[in-house]
Order: sequence, then structure tokens, then C-alpha cells
Amino acid sequence: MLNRRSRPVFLNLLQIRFPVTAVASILHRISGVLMFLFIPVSVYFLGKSLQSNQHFQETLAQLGTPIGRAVLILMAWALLHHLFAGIRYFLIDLEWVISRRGANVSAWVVISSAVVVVALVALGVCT
Amino acid sequence: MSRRVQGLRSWLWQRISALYLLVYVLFVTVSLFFNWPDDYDSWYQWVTGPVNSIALFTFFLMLTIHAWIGIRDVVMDYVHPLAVRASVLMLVGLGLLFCLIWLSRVLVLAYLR
Repeated sequence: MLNRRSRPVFLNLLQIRFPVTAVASILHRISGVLMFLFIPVSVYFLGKSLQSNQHFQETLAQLGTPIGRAVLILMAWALLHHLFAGIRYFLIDLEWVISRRGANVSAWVVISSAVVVVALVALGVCT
Repeated sequence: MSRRVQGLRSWLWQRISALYLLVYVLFVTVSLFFNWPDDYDSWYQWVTGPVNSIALFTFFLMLTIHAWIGIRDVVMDYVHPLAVRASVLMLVGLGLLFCLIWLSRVLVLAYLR
């Protein structure tokens, strides 16, 4: 095997063309890390909402602010993308989508359906 | 890919926990859709019901396992100096453990109300 250091390395993020499967994959990671960071926030608000009626109303008010809504919509996207991409990985593990075309099409389906469902939910909640 | 061979148990747990998280999210979505708790009392009843509270605790337990394996893989991919990696992993692990204990406290306190 050649010396590892002699292999060409090309990591210019602005020039690498990411295939759609790579985009679905990196979004799977980003959404996972976002939800990881959200764990303490969710425990905090769950605890607060259960303390008393007054705390419950306060929690609703805080989550209903523009920032609260924006974070909830971001988390809804993260959950849906992570969930859809996770189901796709299950199907890949079961060797159901292993053709290149199948992998590309399913990656497009995952990315777009997460965005579409979040948009529909956000519209439904805000109207 | 030798880490994958070593990590076969992690790989399996990642999928077992993922299945529970998936089923729980579907269950909560359907349950809330048919019975939306719009005041404190119904919200309290919903969370502290026997089935729901056990399912919720199991959800956070599975979430802790799932997040630990996932974040550990991400950290091992991007953080290479051993001392920094060990410190970050320790913080992540302690943070997740803290959240699980915090959640248990929240549920116990809710029960005692």
C-alpha cells in the first residue's frame, strides 16, 4: 500500500460536488446533533409545564414566542429528517434500496418530504 | 472499518433504540392527535398516566443510548487529539446522564404532586 501521505487530498468544500446521498447523510448528522443539544431544553420545559397551572401557562407562552416557534419548527424538521433518513438506513440495511438509482431517489424523497411535512405542520399550527 | 466490527454491539443498539424511538414518536403523534391536552389538568393526566409515563421514561432511556452512540461516532470522526476527544466524550456522557436523572426527578415530582 502507498504511503497515506502521498495520496491526493481535495477538501475544498466550495468546489466539491456533493451527491444527494451525501447531503442526506450530513443532514442526518446535523439533525441528530441539533436534537442532542435540545434534550436538556425539552426536559426543562417538560418539568416546568408539570409544576402547576401557572407554570403550564408560562411554558405555553414561552414556546409561543417567535423564537420559541422558530426553535420548535427547526426541531420538528430535525426530527422528521432524522426519522425519514433513519427509515431509509433501515431499508438499506435490509438491502431494499441498494441500487445507485434507488439510493439517489430515496435520498431526494427523504430530504424533500421532511421539508414539505414541516412546512405543512408549521402552516397548520400558525393559521 | 475495523471500528465497525468492534462496534457491532453499538450498531445493534443504535437500531434497537431507533425502533423504539420511531414507535414512540408515532404513538405520541396519534395519541395527541385524538386527545389534545389543551389545559394543565389534561396535560398532567396525559403525562402521568401509568402507560404514558413508563413509555416516556423508556423513551428517554432509549434516547440516551441512541444519542450517546450517535454523538460518540460524530466526535470520533471529527475530534482527533486523544486528550480532547476523551474530555469531549466525558462531557457528553455526563451531560446525557445528568439529563436522564433530571427527567427521572421531573417524573417522580410530578407523581408526588
